[in-house]
Amino acid sequence: MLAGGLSLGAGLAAPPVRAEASGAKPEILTLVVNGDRVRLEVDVRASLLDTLRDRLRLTGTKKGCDQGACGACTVLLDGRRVLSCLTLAVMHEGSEVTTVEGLAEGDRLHPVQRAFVDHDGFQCGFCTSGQIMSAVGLLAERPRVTAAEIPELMSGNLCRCAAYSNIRDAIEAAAHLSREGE
Amino acid sequence: MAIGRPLSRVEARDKVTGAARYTADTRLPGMVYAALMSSAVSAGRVRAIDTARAEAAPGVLAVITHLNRPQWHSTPAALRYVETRFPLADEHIHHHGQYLAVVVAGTREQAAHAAGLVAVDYETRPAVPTLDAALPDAHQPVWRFEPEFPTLLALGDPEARLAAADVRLDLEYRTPYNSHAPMEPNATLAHWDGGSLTVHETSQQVHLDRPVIAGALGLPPDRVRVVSTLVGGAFGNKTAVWAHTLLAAVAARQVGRPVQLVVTRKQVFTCHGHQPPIIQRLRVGANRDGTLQAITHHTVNGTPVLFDRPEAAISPTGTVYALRSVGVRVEVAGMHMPAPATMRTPGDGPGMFAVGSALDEMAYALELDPIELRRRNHLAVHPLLGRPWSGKQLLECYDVGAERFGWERRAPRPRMMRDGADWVGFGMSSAQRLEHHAAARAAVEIRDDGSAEVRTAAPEIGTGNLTTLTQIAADGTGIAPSQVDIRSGDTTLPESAPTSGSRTTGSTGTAVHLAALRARQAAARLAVADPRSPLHGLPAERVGAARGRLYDVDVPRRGETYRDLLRRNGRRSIVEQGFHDPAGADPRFAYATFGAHFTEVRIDDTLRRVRVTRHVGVFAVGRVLNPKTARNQAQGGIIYALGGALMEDLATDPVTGRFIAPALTDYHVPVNADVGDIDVSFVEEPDYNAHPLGAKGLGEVVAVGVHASIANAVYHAIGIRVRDLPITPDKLLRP
Amino acid sequence: MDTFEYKRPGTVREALRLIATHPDAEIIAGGTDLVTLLRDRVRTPARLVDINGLPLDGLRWSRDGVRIGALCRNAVDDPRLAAAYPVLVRALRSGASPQIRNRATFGGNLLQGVRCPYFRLPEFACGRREPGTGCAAIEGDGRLLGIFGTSAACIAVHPSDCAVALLALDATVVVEGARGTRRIPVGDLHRLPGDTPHVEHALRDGELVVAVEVPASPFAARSTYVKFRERASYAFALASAAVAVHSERGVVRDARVCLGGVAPKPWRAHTAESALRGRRLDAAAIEAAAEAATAGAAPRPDNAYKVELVRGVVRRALTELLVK
Repeated sequence: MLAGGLSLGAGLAAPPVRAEASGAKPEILTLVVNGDRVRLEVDVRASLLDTLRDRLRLTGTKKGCDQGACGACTVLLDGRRVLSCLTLAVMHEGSEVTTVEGLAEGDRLHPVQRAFVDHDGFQCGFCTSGQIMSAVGLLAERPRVTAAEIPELMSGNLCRCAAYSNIRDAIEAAAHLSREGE
Repeated sequence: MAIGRPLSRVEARDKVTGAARYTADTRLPGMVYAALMSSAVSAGRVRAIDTARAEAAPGVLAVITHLNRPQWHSTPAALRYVETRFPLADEHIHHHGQYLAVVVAGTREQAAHAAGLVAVDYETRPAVPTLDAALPDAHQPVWRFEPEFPTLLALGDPEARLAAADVRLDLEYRTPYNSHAPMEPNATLAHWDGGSLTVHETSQQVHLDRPVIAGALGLPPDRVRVVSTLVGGAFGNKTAVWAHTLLAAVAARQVGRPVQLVVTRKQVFTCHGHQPPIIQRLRVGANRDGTLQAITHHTVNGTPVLFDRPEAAISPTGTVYALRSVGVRVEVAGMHMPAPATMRTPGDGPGMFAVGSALDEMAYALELDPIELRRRNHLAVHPLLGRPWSGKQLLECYDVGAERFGWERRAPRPRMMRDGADWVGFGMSSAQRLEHHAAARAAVEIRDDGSAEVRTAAPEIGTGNLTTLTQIAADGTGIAPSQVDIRSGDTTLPESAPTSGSRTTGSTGTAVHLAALRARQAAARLAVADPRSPLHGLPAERVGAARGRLYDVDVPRRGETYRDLLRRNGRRSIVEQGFHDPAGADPRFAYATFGAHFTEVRIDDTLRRVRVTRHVGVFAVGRVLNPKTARNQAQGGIIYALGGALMEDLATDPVTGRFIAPALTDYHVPVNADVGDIDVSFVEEPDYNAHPLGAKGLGEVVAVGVHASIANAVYHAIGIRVRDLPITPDKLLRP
Repeated sequence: MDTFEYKRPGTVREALRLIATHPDAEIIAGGTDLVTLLRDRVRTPARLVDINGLPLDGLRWSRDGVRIGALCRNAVDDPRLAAAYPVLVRALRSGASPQIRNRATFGGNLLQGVRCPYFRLPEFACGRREPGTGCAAIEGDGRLLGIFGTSAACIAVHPSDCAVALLALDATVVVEGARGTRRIPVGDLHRLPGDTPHVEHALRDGELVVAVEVPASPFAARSTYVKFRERASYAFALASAAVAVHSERGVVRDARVCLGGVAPKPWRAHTAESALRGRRLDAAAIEAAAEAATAGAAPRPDNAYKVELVRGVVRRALTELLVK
């Protein structure tokens, strides 16, 4: 069990500074995020990633590079895995976004999340949201993915702690589990 | 027993659900954003800086430069702040990317935009861009960490011994700039409450940061709180206070709001540490019987022009193998480079690349198996201290590793193993890392609901210390690990060892162990003195604890739970402190961790990229607290070093010295598909001479020797000896 | 990032008008390259025209081949495409991570910026980024840069894998502009730098790529792509080869040998193609073609290794075709 420290800052009020002060004309945007319809004003420059993190307070999605090179910001956009740092929020009017916060059903972890816990598929955890979302996207693309295919298909997600072997094992186990569930 | 069990990480659920909160995820009401503006030149002076456009940009609250910054109140202590000057010191520019301004604005986009509007009129001077260009400046460093990390040392008469040796080798090895490249960029959230400052920081060591921050800002240390609960990887680049922290603090004071400053990835690569380039010259002499006679090791590494920072690549040289004579010399050469930082594994990483490669070269010269050469020069005592190692199972590591790897299938000479289009090569190296200690404190509280809480400042950087410290406290108190909470990463908690240098298990772990034992003993004393307790009247040392219950070790049925004991006595909790005193180490011994690496590489003859298809690592680190997290960390350490061996090179422009690949797109670290079968095992023998728990550090020794093991395998595969890392395809061309 | 006016047209006609009426307009599709260029201030458009709402998606098959919409994503997974044009599908798969391929489009892939650190870091002089400022790469680190088609003004390499495959397939880029539709062979799309490195491609102001047409051809099915990079995946090519061979009665009638990662544009190795024509595709012919593929290479000392890599990727790619 983990106590203290971690929940600081959760659920606090938004800062009073508004997007229209930016000089750019803000755009009104509607997104469906983890099943919830949200309507907000965005700076046209804001990435989907920063919008999720700064505006919607969904900080589970991480910014590792903001260069499209690490995969930590992977989310599902209309069901497909994408890098949320490489796309502007304003481009996704009406889109459905799933983040790591949207996977578990109540206390019940998604099979991929469960497998990452069981197989210790992380160390520092900073790439983990992206790894998990990428794995969920991969299993949607290829429910019958083989162990040999996983490394290449997960190579867009860097893990500097290099828990790669465990990440593969976790995805293989989750794939197996979801096939059994068919 | 919780120790030794493969428990899942205590924070695992938070990490897979996105609930885990890192520094940049922490938010405060009214928080605004800062961005840093960096120098476009590598050396020179700011002739003029124009902030008018930035100040006028939408949403901008402040622009701070060297002209209007608040005064710094101290000068930096070596290595605790990364440089010898605090940020925005004056108009002089000593490296590319040096921060010249911090901009605060209402949104992240506004801050980043305005930082780009700061205009600078530079007076540019020629830079010393590369280590080769800096070599005329090579000099012995002024360095305050002697003698623990010596820069000049001689044992015996290496020159005479070399001259008399049957076989002599004179070799030069090179390593380039390497970057820590943690996934999490450095970040700060600073906020003031009256005259007190709280800094949420990506830090491996909150207590060591505090006096630096307080000193710079002219505050008493107790007015500064540093919080760092979860860190998204560090590898050493979060072991010092960097410019962004101080700039966020002064910016927050100036705008009167909490300020978040997350540095960009380009800035992480540039201004937040790296391992500097190193040139190492090794001369080794051995006799035909395979006995090493002498070694000299002379290194030069790049250092910033303003101060000397040696990279102690000589650290393994005198202590890994039996040698009659040793001479080491470390020099530095000034370059217009940003400040380096200790990087997994400082000194030993690059040093063992050279020593482990040279041993391999000597083995071929003597026509000996590389393991056999190492066996013949095995060292039972620390030669400089003259003390036996507290526990050394290196020979067992060779045996276990050779067996697991299938070393007996190795062909004796290079270019003899082929599988279809692939050349196949086997290589090996030993690993060693001296065990370092630091003072550490912890508190353990046993509560009247039967649970316990551990409190110690050590941030969790991914090593699993929240879990292992929980396990230690669980066993010390006899309370199930699921009933043990842990709080960490905060200067309001007892001061741990820094989470660096493989010190957590030995130092902080010992403090937690002692605190837990003392809490249990205090509970036992309460019980035996309490007439209502079933344990009343027993000698306290006859009281054991397990599953949340105190019991008579002679009559285990007799006992009671902590919960009953505390509630009956009206006690909410029992709190005890533990202190690990590094001065208390047994002076009869020398301390280190050991290991052996075995690598199989495959190299396609047409397209010559090195693939590490199999790697076996065997480590002797005393007792393994948690095999699940330990195996993961060991695999990670091996792969970390694999990156350094095969691809990592923070390339520089030869004219300006500027890093030309400050992006994870271009600075290549291993991806999932680069990783073959990594087999990790332990020769587990508790080392109670080193620590009361019998466990030693793990995170670094696993990465030591990997570079050499891979380079040796490459030579074995195709007969090309690469002495300058990384071993990229351009170095393996067909003759 | 500097601010800009954001527009999302619903028709090609409206898109063309939005581009034509603003001198600093930039088109965004997948954004996987452009967003990084905006963030690093390599590109600073005043107007951003988001074309994702245009009906330019999908594959259209005909007897003549396939027409691929400019907005078709690089993740396209179509068994018919894989069977008809193996070289293209392999190039796409090696091109980027699945996340990037789910966004990146055919049009954007062709028009992405060059890979040159000096182009992407505004601290350095780059005449491609800012006309007339020179080229810091010339005196700089050129290990990853070009060995063919470079000039004293630019030694960058074009990073697209897909474009190299399309070149080998004789594909054509369909563009629309105010004056109607025109077709540009893929090989003519990118310009060599010469002394005008900022003129990157053959599109005229106000033109929009709407499709790529890949013809049916006798050699398309017997084709492959080999990409060599510094790590196992998720990296740009140090060198790559797209090859396609059409044989009749065991003799090569026609062939394509195209190279990536070695020139400012996808590079067609005509000499290597000639070396194959009229011969049986065997080890000796492959060796001759691999050698011929390096004709015209003008490496620098720091990237001379790429000459050997060119031989290697061509040798490997043609060898793969032996078993097909």
